[in-house]
Amino acid sequence: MKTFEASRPSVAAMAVGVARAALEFARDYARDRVQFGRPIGQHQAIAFMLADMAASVDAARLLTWRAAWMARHQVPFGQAEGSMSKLVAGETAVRVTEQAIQILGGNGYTREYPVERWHRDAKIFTIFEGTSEIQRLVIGRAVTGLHVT
Amino acid sequence: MSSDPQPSFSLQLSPDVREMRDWVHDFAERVIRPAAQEWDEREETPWPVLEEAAKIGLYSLDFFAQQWLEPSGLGTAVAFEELFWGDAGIGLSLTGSGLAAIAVSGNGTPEQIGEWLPQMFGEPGDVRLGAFCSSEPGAGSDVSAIRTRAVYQQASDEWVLNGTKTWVTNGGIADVHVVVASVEPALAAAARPASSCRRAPAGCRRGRNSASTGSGPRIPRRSCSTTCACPATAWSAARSGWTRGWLGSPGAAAAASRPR
Repeated sequence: MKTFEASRPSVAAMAVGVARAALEFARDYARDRVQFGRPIGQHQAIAFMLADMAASVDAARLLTWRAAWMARHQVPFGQAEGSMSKLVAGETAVRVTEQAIQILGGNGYTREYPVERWHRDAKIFTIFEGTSEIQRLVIGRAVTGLHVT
Repeated sequence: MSSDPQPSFSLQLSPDVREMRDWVHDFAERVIRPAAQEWDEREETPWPVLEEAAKIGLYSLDFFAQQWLEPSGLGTAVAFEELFWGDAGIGLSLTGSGLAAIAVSGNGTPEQIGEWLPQMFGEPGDVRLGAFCSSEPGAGSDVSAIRTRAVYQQASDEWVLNGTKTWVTNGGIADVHVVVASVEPALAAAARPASSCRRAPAGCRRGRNSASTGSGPRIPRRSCSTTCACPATAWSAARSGWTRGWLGSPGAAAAASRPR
């Protein structure tokens, strides 16, 4: 499916956008929201979650940009780099938006805040344009050189 | 241009890409973000936002083509990240025509590209959409299981599409639907280049809109049952012996991918 191969890094970039929105919102919230006498971002439990989120978003973007660059310069996807970008970005969007809800606690669960919407929106990225399982199949074949089914 | 045969990868965005990123971000922050909740609740296509984007040239064939051809390759990725930072549902509305455009531009003849791509975007005051129809009720991840057929009718010089598509972004409201169909039986019988079809074929029935969890609600993902006849024109892929094709309805045919 040539159409899907060409579009995978673009779809990955969409997922990165959703994840970044959630990361930024949760970061700002963690700076302002005070519990136990200090901003919740000063609690390791929250800061470490934000650290993981930030690292994941950057990793997803780097895979996305690599695949987009390869596609543009006609460097063959020898290790299924297009699928890697879609897999990691989609899974990252789901995880990071879920973590953002967790950081906002009860507020995150309500529709008064946008993070629950971003989580609903993120889920499609592990499904359309090739599910995460299809991406793993493509990557698995490239990595092993075997016809994984 | 460097004489280095292997172009080097750089994270340094060009001034053009940085400027574009800031411009798209500004639109995402000013127009998309504030509209997101409303359109999430309405579960409708955000036509006013599409119109706003068309007005500044963001929803346009020119903009998407420019980013697609941007020399570093990062143009589209950078633009899409900003749009979806604004809102994923509205982002999908703004980019949903792209898949149809890629299918035609990757496989179609220059004439097909020149005719159909502009119809997928329209212009300010007359915004249009494209739809890429691939999945079927019985063919999701298993794309090779598609049953939609395009059969050439010599008597009327038409291709007849017959099948049911589902999860079609912009399905039923697009001006151009690019439909993945198999022409295998047709090729064996007709042994000549296959075809394309023009707008609004009689017999295309719009199915129900599926409610969904997330960004889907802001763009129709409709089932679309199709039996329609399309006047035959040249179809590039058939000439090289490919047997699986993109055919479009109301709009057009594009071409093909190789059989597995």
